[in-house]
Amino acid sequence: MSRPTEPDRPRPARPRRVYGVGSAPDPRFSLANERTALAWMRTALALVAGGVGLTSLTSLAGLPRPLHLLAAAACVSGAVLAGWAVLGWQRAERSLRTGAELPAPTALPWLAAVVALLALLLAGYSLGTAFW
Amino acid sequence: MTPAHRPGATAADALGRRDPGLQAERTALSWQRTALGGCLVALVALASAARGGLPVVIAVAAATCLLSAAAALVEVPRRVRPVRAGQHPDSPGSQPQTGPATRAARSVHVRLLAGLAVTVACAVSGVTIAVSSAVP
Repeated sequence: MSRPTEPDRPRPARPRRVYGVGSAPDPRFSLANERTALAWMRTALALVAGGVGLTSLTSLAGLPRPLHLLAAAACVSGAVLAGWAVLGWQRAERSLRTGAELPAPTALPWLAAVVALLALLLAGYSLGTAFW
Repeated sequence: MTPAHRPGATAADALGRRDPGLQAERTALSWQRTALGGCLVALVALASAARGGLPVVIAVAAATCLLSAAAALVEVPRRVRPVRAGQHPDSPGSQPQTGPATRAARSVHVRLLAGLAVTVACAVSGVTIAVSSAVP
């Protein structure tokens, strides 16, 4: 599939490092890329919601204070993931415009590690509460 | 040059008048879900902060709700309305001066940054609640 360059193109949209390269891809791919970024954004929001919920529950139920640290870690992970979503959208859109190979979903293993760590710590807390 | 091969061609005119994959509608719904998620997190933060005070968190949560609602109100009709009328919002015919950089492409990044701002604002209020609860 040829990607003709446009010598008479008007000034590209912002951010220039995305729209300044290549040519407009099939809009369905751009829309799919947008939805993927939004799905990452919702995942980030879910992490934040879990963190806020955990810290609220810890306060209301008078649970041990270290749980607040776990909640803060979940919130920070959500904030990092939200930034990652925007960067991932930029990288994928650049690849779509230049015809390069799409970048690997590098956020996925990190997200899995963070979620697994939070889950294991909470499981450890639950077991500790149950047996000691 | 047929519309399908033109730079900046839309999902609608790539496949005839209407995109059977409903890409624009799905994207609009995706924005709607994300906005609802933002409101949900803000409400959780609000419910938590209402007990202990923390006016900063209450203000951030209220602003997040407003921003999420604004994102949904702006983005969803913009995606769906022209499709229903048989014309895509990003149609080259409707925006001839923008060329390949369609209006949608121009504004996606801004809206993603708004989503980022919402998420970070929620995260900051969550961390504030957590830290203020952990440190007596």
